[in-house]
Order: sequence, then C-alpha cells, then structure tokens
Amino acid sequence: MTKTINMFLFLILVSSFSFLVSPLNAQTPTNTTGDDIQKFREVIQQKVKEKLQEISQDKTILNPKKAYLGTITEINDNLLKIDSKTKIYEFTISDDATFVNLKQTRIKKTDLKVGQDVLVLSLTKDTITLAKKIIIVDPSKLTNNKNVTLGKIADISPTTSVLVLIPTNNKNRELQIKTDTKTEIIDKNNKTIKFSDLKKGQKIVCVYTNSQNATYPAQKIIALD
Amino acid sequence: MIKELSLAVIFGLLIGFGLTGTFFYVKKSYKQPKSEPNIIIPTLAPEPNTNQKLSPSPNPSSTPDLEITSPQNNDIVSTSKTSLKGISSPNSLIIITTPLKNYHLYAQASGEFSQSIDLEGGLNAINITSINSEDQENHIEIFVTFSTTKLE
Repeated sequence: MTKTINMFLFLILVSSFSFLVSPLNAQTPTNTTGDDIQKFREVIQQKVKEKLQEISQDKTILNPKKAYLGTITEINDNLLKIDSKTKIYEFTISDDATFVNLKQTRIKKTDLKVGQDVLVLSLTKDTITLAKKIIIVDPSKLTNNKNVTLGKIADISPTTSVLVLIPTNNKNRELQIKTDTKTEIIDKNNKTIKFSDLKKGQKIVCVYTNSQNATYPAQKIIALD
Repeated sequence: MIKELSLAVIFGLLIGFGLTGTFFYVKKSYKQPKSEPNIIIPTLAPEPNTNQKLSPSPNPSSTPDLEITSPQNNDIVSTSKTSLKGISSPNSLIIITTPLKNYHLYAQASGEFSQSIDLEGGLNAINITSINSEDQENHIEIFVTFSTTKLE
C-alpha cells in the first residue's frame, strides 16, 4: 500500500514538472490581408533604397580641403570656433598655421579676436579639422549680389533703355531694369539681340545686381519667346 | 497489487496533468491580451485631399529639383577654372552667376548639366538658378574657394 502511495505521489511530481517548461513562442499565422502585405513590401523596399543611398553617399570622396567663412566666437592656443550663421565650426589650429589680415599681410595668432570675420582654410585629417590659414575678410565684399528673375516685360522704354519686369513668382512686384552697353542681351538660341528687339509681354530671364535706388542694372537678359 | 499499482499510475498521471493543464489555462486566460502578436502595420502617408480648395500660391512641390554634385560646398580648388556639375529637372534652364561671369545652359533630358566656370582668387559665392518648363524656379548658393596655398 505504501508502495502504491509512493508511486502515486511520484507520478504527480513527475507530471507537475511540466510547469517548469517555458512557453514556446511559435510563430502564429496572422490575419494580414493582401493590402497589408503589399504595404509591408513597399515599406521594406523604401528602407532598403534609403540604406543603399546612405551607403553610396558614404562612398563619395570628400575633399579634405575646405574653406569656411564665419565670425570668430572663440579662439585660444589651439582651438578656433567660427559661426557661419547656419552652423558653428570648430577647428584645431595647426602648428604651422598662417594668419593674414585684410591688407594681405601676415599677422600673429594673437591678433585674431572674437567678432572678427574670417575665412578659414582647413585640412581634414582623420577626424581632426586643422585650420591651416586664417584670413581676416570683409564679408560684404564676398557676397554674390547678383539676382536672377524670370518674368514678363510689363513696359519698355527704348529711349531710356529701361524696362519694367513683373516676376513670375511675385506678380505684385515691379522691377525697373536698366540696361547699358555692357548688358548682354540674347535670345533663346543664344543669338545676341538688341534692346529694341525686346517687346512688351515678352518672357525674359534677367540677371541684375542689387542697387541702392529703385532701378536695377541688368548684366544679362535672355529672351525666352 | 498490480491492479492497485495500475490505478495509482493512472490517477497519478491524471491528477498531475490535470494540475498542469489547469495552471496553463489560468495563466493563458490571465495573459490573453498581451500574448496576442502585436503587429503594427506601417501605413502610408495620407494622400493629399484633392477635393480641398487649391491655394493661389505656387505649389512648392513643383519647384525644379536642383543639386550640385561638383564642386561640393566650401571646397577649395587649386585652379582658376573648375567644372560645375549638377542635376536638375529635365531640360531646365540653368543660370550660374559667379563674381566674375554669368553663364546659362540647358540641362539634358536626364537632368544633368555641366559648365566650366572661372573663379577669382579667394572665396567665390556661386548662385545657381534652375527654371523648369513650368516656369518654376529653384535657387542654390554654394561657396568655392580658389587658393593655391599648400595645405598639406
């Protein structure tokens, strides 16, 4: 009788061991529809495409020689920080770095001050960007003050060589454009034409420079029709 | 004796598996909401509502693509002439202005374009404008420095 009870208890014990078995996380079929699978495919394809683009971009050979324009925000023995208005750049000043002022004469590193506008010629080696040449500049002389505008001639005065241009992207604006003998005027076939060949209502592209007064000097006019 | 042993085996197994089964049933019913496979199906961005009233302002998505592939922004070049290469909308009119000169050309059917440009010493702010067949404009400015200074 004792043997039977022992066997009974033993079997209970053995079968209860199955409690210790961890649950099996087998894949279960989901009720995703054909559209869902298609969306999955599209998303995966997009991700693969993005990854490939990243890889191909990484392979682009970057020029280690770069020049950055900005205002000095910090300078010490070997650190230079400049603010380019869109980004802060940080450089390690090279031991053989040269420093030049507005008159193109050599100066000392100690002559550089916070707030000065500089052009930093740099060389990237591994992860360090070395400032090799620091030139004090006048940024107003380095800006490109040329504008390009597509528009239609609203009015034209052959006697004064002035035309009124209404930009396509801002019809509320009127640009008074003045031409001179240096203005290059061409048609869509790249053939030189005269100012008198331009007509009211004609579509043109005008390259002009900024001006203090209301009349902008034209450098180039391309007649498109 | 054998009869008693057989009954003990059968009852032992029944009670053992019965307890196990009850345990798992209770466990499963307790965890039911969490044990379901949590599959999040990525959805595509909602389509723009075509029925909505169109704005009179130009659609920004129609501005021509414009990318400069060479030289890269802030590059230093050691020659006064360099080849500016890029890609834009097919057959777009490309206008390039540098401190020295103005250039114009048309992009190829593939959108690619290339123009040899003259640079002045020092920093050159180069503006590139693309105008597509729908008269939409796009502008980019890059900075390229012409310097013969040896930086090695």
